[in-house]
Amino acid sequence: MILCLSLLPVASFGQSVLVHGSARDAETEEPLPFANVVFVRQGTGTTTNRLGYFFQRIQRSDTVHVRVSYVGYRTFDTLLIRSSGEMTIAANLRPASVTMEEVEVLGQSKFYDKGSYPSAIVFQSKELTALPSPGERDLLRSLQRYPGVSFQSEMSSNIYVRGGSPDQTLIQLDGITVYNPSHVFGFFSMFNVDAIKAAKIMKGGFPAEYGTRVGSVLDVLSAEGDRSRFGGKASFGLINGSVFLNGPLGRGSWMVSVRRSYMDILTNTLGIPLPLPDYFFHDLHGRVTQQLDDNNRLSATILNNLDDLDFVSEKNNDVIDEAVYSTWSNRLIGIEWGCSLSSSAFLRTIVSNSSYHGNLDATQNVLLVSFPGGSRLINYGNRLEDLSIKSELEWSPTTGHAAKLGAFFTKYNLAYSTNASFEGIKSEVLRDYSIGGVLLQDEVGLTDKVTVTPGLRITKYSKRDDPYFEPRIVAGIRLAPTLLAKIGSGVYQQWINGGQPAYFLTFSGIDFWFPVGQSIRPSKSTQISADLLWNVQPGVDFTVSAYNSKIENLVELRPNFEESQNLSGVFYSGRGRNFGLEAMLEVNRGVLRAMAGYTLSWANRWFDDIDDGREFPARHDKRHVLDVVLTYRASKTWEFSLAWTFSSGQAYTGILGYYELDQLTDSISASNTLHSVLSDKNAFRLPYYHRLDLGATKTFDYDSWKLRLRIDVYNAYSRRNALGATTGFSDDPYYRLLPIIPTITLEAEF
Amino acid sequence: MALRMSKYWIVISALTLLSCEVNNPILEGTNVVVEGFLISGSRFEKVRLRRVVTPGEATQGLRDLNAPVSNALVSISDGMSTYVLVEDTSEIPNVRPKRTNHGTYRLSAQDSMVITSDRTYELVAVIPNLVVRASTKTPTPITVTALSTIVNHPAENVRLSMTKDSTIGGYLIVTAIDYSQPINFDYGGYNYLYSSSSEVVIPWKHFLTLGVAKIYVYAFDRNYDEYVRNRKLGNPTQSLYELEDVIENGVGIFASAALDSITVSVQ
Repeated sequence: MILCLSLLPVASFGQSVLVHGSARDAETEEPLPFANVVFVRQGTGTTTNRLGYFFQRIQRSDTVHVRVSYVGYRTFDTLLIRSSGEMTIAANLRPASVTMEEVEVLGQSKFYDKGSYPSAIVFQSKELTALPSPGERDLLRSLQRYPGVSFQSEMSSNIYVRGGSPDQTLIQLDGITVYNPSHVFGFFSMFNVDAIKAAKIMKGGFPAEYGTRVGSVLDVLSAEGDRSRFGGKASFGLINGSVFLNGPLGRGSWMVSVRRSYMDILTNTLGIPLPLPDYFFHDLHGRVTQQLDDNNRLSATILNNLDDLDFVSEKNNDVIDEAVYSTWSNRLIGIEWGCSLSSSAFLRTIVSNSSYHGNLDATQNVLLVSFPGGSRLINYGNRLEDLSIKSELEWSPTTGHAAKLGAFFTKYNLAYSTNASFEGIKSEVLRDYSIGGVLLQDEVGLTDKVTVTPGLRITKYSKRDDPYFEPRIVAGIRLAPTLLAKIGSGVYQQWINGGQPAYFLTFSGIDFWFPVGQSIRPSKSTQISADLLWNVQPGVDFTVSAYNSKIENLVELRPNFEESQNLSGVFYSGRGRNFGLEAMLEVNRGVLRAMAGYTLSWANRWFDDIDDGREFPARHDKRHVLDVVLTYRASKTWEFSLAWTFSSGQAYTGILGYYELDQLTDSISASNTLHSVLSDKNAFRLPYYHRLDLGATKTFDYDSWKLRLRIDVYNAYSRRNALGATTGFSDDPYYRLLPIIPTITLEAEF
Repeated sequence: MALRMSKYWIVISALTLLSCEVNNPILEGTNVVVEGFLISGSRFEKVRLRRVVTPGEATQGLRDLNAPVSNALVSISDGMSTYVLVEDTSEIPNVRPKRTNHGTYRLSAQDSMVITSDRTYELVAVIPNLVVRASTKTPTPITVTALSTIVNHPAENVRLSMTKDSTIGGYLIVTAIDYSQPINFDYGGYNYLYSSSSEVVIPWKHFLTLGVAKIYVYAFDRNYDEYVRNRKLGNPTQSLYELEDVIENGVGIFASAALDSITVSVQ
């Protein structure tokens, strides 16, 4: 199909001219990824790639009006005069200074932002910093405000995209896979927004250039650093502080960001008594970029994070009443080589290593000597490490074609520690295994209004004999100058699955990752996603999306998975269907930016081993979700923000009744044990959920520093939303989430 | 403009009301709880039938509620003979407030049944509109061997080895309550330990009193093993749990065990 489409003569274009170039920050010379590039007269456009480059063949013309726009920057307009078959642009965009007069500059529509991909949302770091957030600006928490992206509780930064579980979203930083991005038990993610340049989430129907997950993709790009001068930012909040530094280096730049919590230092070093467990986290995120010559650039990314919790409830003599020791960490390192082979071909190669390590050791009534079979309650440990290389060629061979050809190979290594020995499944799981394959896709401009991107991934998984074929197709149809339709569909496979033991569902820290083996087949989804985008007026966009996803061989961790002797005992295996409608209104009027999103969705599951195969809703299934986000820049120094969310209650398995088994025999003394009769899986619903967050930022200058004082109020009207159901013996039938929490953060930029 | 705005509010309000609607399920019908344990070599004692109580009833105090299932027609069969059980309605002595044995079914005075190894026992309870069934196969006899019989404070632990058999799901290791110096397997107040392994190490720190200690080992069947394992299941935000069904048309446990014991010296 791809070959056929590639051979299509795109006759309507006639002779063509190649326009290529890059978009950069005029002050820092930092590349601007995912910037809009619009050829005004032709009515077509593209976006810059992750390294800020673009190229496109357009209908031959003596003059070409090119408009490059990027959120937070003045729009770049230029008129190119053709002197040959190629035109080159160096679009240096100036940051928009914050003045009331710049309404129109900031009010550029995001209409072209989405490129040709359906259900994609692009974020620039400037947008992330404007949203209210308790204590810490966060990428994943910001994403949870958008239609189709949901969360399980405030205690988890895991994202549930269009009914998919967190492990079904491919999260990558500069092309490196991230397995668990949680900090502080999921209260926020490991992505420090200071060190993030942009992010793009593709909620469904994504093209062939992305793979290994059946749900969605979150593509995060690091900031590269200022190429002109040294600078930085320091931020101090209630629980953590961070420092971001960046500057020029040779023919390139560097960036480093460090964060650390300081509750443990306040408690242990300074002796300030805080009613908190002994806990800390830190992360280090850095990137170095060098322009080797005009056509070659080399960059390296490193990210290392760690969360460490030591909680001991009480120690009497040599007996601990309760104790929890837990750590989880990620380590990412990658080197990226970008090579401009010609003005119409760009090659990008990434070699990376990503590892995730999580460990939880929970004990109760424990002697301070080790013994087998004691009262250790939980001991889980999982280490996953990959070594990956992928190469991708972007190539525009002829007018109307923008092809991507790629090859990828990843080698995985896994290790576990649990109460149980896992002996039965070690032989099935604990071998090295690998995934490798090729991809090709071609964005074909059939007419000046219709673009079709067919694609195919062919993947070989080392534990299965046959290769897997994943055909994809994405189409964009410009119905009117301000009306655009997008459709994406395809087959998606997943060979590695993550999850959490049932006890952990209220927060996201420890994950368990398992490759599929002989007893569990790879997950496979068939998705279709359609968007209608309407640029109502400049700065006002309205988007409606519909989606449907069917998943086969869907897996979820069984509650007592650690006792299993084979992989089929680790997972429930079944099928799922996610479908729904999303609507989003975005207003960008410079000083006022607003977003209202509504999602109507279903996430249904069928597992043979649960309720005799009857349909049940996923725990994160929410029928209605409504979000409203407003940011208002009242003056040069004051900015206010508001975010309100409302959703149906989550599903849970409720208690229908109780009974007690209070003896074994008259000669055996055992404690009474209370049992419950549970409902069908997730047959109950928590009460509806709603929450209002408010934020205010005061900006002022101190010497050459720019200071920002941020005051955020989480849960402003202090609604005690339900986290889950209690056993029913207390006055309140629900465990409650946090009440109102004001936080204050000081940022200094130099 | 006002009309347009009001339309939006109508839509938003309708969605809000839809979301607020929570119709959670309730317990339907009679849910019978069976509780019965058979020990090889011992006489059959009793089977208890109760009903599941609703969360509303439970908040009033499950222990006092008791919820016996009375007037059921209950029988137990060992494959050769079938015995009809009789409900014990007597008062439980020395309990305040007063409670009775309603819901407890025993052999009639003229019957006697000794539980035999390697035999399948079937229980049938008939109540109006419901027949509850359960069965258990008694495990083969076991032998417990002490790989070390002397417990030395503070150095040597006790190691036990039990014979294995495919009918055995796991081993419940307990102290006899009539023994004058019971050992403590756990500081949490429990005096039993369950292990699926046929070799168990009991650390010296579990023996609090010097002298002679007697350890009983019950080799339980698969039903009991299911009971132990599956009580880890349940709602993740709740400490309660639901058992896998080993009872047809009911819940609870009907299990059997083989028994052996051993004596150790604590020095």
